[in-house]
Amino acid sequence: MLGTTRILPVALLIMLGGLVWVLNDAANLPALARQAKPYEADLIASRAVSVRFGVDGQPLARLTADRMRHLPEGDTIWLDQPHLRYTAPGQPELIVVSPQARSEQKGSRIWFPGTVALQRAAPPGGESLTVNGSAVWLDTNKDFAWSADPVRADSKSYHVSGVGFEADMKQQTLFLKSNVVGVYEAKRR
Amino acid sequence: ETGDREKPVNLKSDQFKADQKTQVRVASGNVIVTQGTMTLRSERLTSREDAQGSQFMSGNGAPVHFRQKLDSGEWVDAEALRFEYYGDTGTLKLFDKAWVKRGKDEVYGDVITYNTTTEIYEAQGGKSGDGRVNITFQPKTKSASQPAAASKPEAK
Repeated sequence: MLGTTRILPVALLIMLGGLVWVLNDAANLPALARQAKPYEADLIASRAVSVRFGVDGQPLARLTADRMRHLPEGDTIWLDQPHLRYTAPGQPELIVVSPQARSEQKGSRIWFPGTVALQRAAPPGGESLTVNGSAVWLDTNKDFAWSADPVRADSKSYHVSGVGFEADMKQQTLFLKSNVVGVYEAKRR
Repeated sequence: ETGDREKPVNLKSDQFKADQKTQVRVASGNVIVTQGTMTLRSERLTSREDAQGSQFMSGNGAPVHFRQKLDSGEWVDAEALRFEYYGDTGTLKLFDKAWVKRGKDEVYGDVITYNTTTEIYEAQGGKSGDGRVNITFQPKTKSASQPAAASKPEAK
């Protein structure tokens, strides 16, 4: 008799606990909203225009795109048909056009996976410059672009191609890293 | 040839840097520049333009080698450790261990100035070395066109 009186309360507690667990599980509503996958956009904008202002309050970078998708994973933005117009104070205007781009780190780094055309206006007394490349990185804080892929640069008096480049917008220099082939057309006197 | 200077300049090199502000361009590493019949090989080449569009090139090599065909069909070869080229006058200045060879004629000096338009070159001795200019002119061999020397009168 003594054994059963000691076992009965424990058994009752176990049974009660089990009932509570079953009820709790049954009370959970099925997941109604499908969990967004990390590589899926949580924000999509069509015909998007974004303007970034410099410290002087003037427009620094004007970015338009057919479509802008924000991905929570890594807080990146994918841009379709982006067109970037960059007007840093004291520097010739730079226009960057590409079929696609990915903006990272709050727009301080932009990656153009496909073909890219960078058109830079002529500085005073200088010549305009167009750089056609692919897989280009652009650091908008340092005003610096680079790529390890083949590149071609065209200016009024010279046309030069190579593999890999670095373009420093602040210094207004273009550096081709290897396999350089070029033609220089002397101005007709 | 005199028409070379109107032709485009072709460039090959390992690396290339263009400065848009100063319009200075630097090619470095196995630099080969060709313009018409002119070929210039150097380790480094800097080029810039003046307001009138005339080009100025300078550079160095170990050595710099220059080659160009003359209107006469002869070739001029030149070497030096350093060079300057003035596009407006077509003048090539060679510095340090300079050497020019045209046909069989050779000139050594510390500074040799060669005008690619007039095809005239001028050599100067420098402070280094014996400061002298060494020129070797090969006598022109009688060309086939000239009649052979009158044959000896037959012994009577």
